[in-house]
Amino acid sequence: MCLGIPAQLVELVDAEAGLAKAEISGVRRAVSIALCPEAEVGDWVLVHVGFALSRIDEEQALETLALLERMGEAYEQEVRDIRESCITCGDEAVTARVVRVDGATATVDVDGEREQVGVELVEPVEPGDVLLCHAGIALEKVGAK
Amino acid sequence: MRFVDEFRSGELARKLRRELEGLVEPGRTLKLMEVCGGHTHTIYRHGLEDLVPAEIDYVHGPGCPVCVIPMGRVDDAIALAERPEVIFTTFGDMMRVPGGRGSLLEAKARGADVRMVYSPLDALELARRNPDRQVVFFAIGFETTAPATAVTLLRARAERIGNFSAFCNHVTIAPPLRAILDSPGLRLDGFIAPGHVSTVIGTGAYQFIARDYRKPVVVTAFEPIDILHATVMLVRQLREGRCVVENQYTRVVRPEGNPRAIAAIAETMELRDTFEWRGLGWIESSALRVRPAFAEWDAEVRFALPGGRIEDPKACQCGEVLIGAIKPWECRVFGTACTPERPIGTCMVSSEGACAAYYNYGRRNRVPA
Repeated sequence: MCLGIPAQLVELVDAEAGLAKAEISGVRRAVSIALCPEAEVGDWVLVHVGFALSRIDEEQALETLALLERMGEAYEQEVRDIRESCITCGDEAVTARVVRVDGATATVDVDGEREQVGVELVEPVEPGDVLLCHAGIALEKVGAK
Repeated sequence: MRFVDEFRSGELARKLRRELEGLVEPGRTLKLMEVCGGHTHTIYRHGLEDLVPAEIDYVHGPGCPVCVIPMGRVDDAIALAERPEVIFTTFGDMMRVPGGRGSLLEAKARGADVRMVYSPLDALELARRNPDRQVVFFAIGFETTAPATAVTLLRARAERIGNFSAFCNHVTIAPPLRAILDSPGLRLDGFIAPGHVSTVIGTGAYQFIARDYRKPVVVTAFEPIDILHATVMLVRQLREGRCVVENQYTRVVRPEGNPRAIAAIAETMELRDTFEWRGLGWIESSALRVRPAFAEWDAEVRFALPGGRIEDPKACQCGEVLIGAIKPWECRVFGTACTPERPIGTCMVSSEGACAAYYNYGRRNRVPA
């Protein structure tokens, strides 16, 4: 019953009578702007039973959406941290394939993510080797190229 | 559609669900009342009840104006519609609501001139085009709809349209909320307040809930993301022990509401001493009537109405559904004797009624835990 539909004002028909045309999902309809006379052509308004009740504030809408986007960020950061912790600080060891070797440091691929590990304990290594890594250090060579 | 599609994003819904999962205390159920029937509809249409953690229990409130009109007023409307000189105009929602003598749709089938309109201005236009007939508009709705009736009355007076009148049944949102908060044995933790009523009356109207009853309130828009967002805001208040009125619908609702709309209502209508609500009984100062200054356009003054009172059918438990005391499927006639095709109670008539929402979206019995 209290349904309100966002519509864009496209034409001012009769300013004195407060009549305008609004586009609602591609359909043009006469609406009264008697309750919302500050609305101008191009503005978005909320329409209820043929009356524009309020202007829709685009900035506020974007702000709400941005706030909601950020809401998940703490969680996603946590997921990233957990995933990264496999190499940097977790208890578990993961297997990783060597992509490039640069002295005592190798770039490895862990489930599609690139990480750096120290390879002093398992030298020599070359690209294609599979290493068991823990806390940023390769502990064992589990497969050679 | 702009300002709609963005607020139906599945990705945002998943973020909000995770946020809620982190906020609820396992095993502690929170009962949140969504006051407005539009919110009830969104919750079931988009399956939000299944998305949120089991600890969140949405309780459906009395904010469906069609559902709270007592049967006696429907009979009055039918009596008006059956007068040969009358063209009776109504929003579509009211057509199928049963009174003691059937519905307006049935009266139309018997020959009454009942017409569906989208806006009260359409009813006024009918009056202009049919000067030899009396056009009566069935004015129902909360503060969202009352300004439309008010502007139409002002215009009827300005243009001296003498064959138009309003049968005023407008109701106000705060008194039934107070009645629910005062009803014994009902435990609620917070309120999802109606966004479009608030567009008119502002956010201050709910202060008494936070101040006197110590329950948090969030004014909320109507898309699924909005309702999830409001749920997060309410649960966060409860977690932090806060209790204030917050506004989730900042893109439309201003703290002061729409002063012009409030002024139009005040100029044309005044509070009734008391009004009967279906299921809730008589509530003081809870409805509006046309002011004496506009008596010429008041159908209750222009025509003699039967004004009878009709008891709700004994089997019907709409009253308990309307205050959230029982779920629709707990009513003894839900889905058997009472269906949308053949409704006994009003909660099954309007698409925003809690029973119709449960029925149409397949919640016909208890959801297995």
